[in-house]
Amino acid sequence: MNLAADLREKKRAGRKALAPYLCAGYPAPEATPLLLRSLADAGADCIELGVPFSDPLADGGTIQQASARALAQGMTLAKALGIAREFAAERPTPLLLMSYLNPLLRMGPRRFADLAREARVAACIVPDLLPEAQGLLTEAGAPPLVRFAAPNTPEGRLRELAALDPPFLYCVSVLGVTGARDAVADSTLAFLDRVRAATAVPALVGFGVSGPGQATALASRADGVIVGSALIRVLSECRGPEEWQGAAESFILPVRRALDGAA
Amino acid sequence: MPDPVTRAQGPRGYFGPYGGRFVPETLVPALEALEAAYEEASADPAFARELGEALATYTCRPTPLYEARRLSGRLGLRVLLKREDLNHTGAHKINNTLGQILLAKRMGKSRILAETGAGQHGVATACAAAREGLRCEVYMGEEDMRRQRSNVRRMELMGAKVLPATSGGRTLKDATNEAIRDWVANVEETYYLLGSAVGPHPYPTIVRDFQAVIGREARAQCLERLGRLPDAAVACVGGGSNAIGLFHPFLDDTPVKLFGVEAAGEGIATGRHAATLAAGAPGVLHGALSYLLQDEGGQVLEAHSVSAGLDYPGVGPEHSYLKDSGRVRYRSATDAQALEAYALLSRLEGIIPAFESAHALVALEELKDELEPGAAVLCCLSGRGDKDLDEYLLRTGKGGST
Repeated sequence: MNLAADLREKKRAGRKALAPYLCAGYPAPEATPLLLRSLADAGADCIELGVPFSDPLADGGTIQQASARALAQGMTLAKALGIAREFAAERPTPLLLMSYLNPLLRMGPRRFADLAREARVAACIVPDLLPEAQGLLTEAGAPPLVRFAAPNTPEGRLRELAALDPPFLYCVSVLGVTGARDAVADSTLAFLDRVRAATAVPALVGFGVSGPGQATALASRADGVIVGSALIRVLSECRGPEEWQGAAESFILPVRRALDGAA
Repeated sequence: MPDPVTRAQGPRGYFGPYGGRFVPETLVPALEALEAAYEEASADPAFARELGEALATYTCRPTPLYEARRLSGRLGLRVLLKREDLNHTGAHKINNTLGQILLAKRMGKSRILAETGAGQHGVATACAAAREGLRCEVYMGEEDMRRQRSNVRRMELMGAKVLPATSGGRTLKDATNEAIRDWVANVEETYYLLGSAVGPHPYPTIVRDFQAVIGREARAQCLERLGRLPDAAVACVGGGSNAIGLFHPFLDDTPVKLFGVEAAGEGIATGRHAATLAAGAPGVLHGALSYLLQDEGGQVLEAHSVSAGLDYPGVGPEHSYLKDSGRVRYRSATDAQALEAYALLSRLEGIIPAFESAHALVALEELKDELEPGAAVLCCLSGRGDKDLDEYLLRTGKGGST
């Protein structure tokens, strides 16, 4: 199913989308396929699978450390695409592939587009690729690019970003990097209102979403939430592989229920 | 349009295919504002006057062009050293910080943020911020803080706060990552004062323009001293700010051969080096597309060099373009060669060069085979080497009991 159509359908039906983030290869390479299944079964609408990078400029400490650990255990873009392909054969939940630009360029845009299509990647999230430079990556058949909007993005640019017709706008809740935060600022809600006024493209909010309370507060002004660092932190506290799936489920289920209750 | 071979800059900050702007969306308004402020300042005679005054009275511009007679005699060349080491704070970095601090002031920013490797850019930023009464915070890799303790103290004495970068190899790359993350989080009040000709557009252009004072002065000084242009010009390249500053005014003078010298560390073949142009491949780091030391999967590799200022896996995008176009030829010098050159210049001329600048001196020795005997070679002595003495003594086993 086409991700954009899927999200628009959910938006019409009033279901708030929940998109958890996983760092491929964290806590261990064999954890990722298990966690993807758990998250899908716990009610994720789509899952962001992050390819670890040596210099994750848009990420705070939690994801930096997870990325370093995943890289040290040999995770690569090619392996992450392999995991995505296997997952696509098992579950219908759309996967969003998140990667900084350099690993994608190194693989080559043609080969990346082919592998991503084979893996049925629904969309790509590339935090250091602006629309102005997207020509470096766009190849026929490549998954569509999600666009970012930030609280300081001016009106005109918001409309330009929406006009590129991304599957959704990734609304960065704060000026800053990823990382769980405790509260939702009024300025964040005002920003989300601004996005909704500017476009009908579905808007998912990420950066700093730490649990059910925040998720519902943010989702009240958007079409869904992305939860990353808080989930990674829960995984980092696991004492062994036997706890991974349980920890992910007990973290994500309350967020799912809260979003459904608030819808 | 200027000659496309030497002046590749098109719209939106590209040098041929290199450069551009590869940053999170949050930084787009800040970069747009910086570009607009810089354009406006460049057209304002009052800005040029204020910068000229600072360059003349705060640091000692024009810096002298010194004919190194004993070194020349030994090499069979006529070696002209552009004495950037005589700048206030001991390196060329201040040319850029004095310019950018005026931009920050113009933009109404209250906080200055910088990254530093050897600490030279950090010190030059700290003094420029002190002079304008602006709050200053500098990220520095923990490993570099150890190697360059005195520069940490100098920054602190001038009122700057030094923040340790503790990720990765804890050197310049990691300090730059932290500085960019901090900038994203505090973008409204913060001016990011980038220290080399790297990063997203417009930084490579701004830094190059402020450093081009090196080449403009040197070109005029050569004409006055020699009655002609030099036969060659040489500078070390980490990010490449002193080199692009020296080269830029000579780009159209095609008879002048230009040589950049990268850090080969323990040798390029060992993999422990910082010779990005020699051994890297184009990629994206810190906001620009340029040559990059990276592995097969596109992960950025750690650089290695005895010189903290060259210990960086990227390089300015204009250098990438100048390499491909062939206008500048890039070579490299190992740690061991740089240490020898450090000692040699000290002994022959009574000038202790920075480890960074010592890399450029190494190339002089090799260039004598490519140039006519007695050829005039301009070499940028980008910084003074007092900061490196402890490391020199440690590395050469002459350190005694300390």
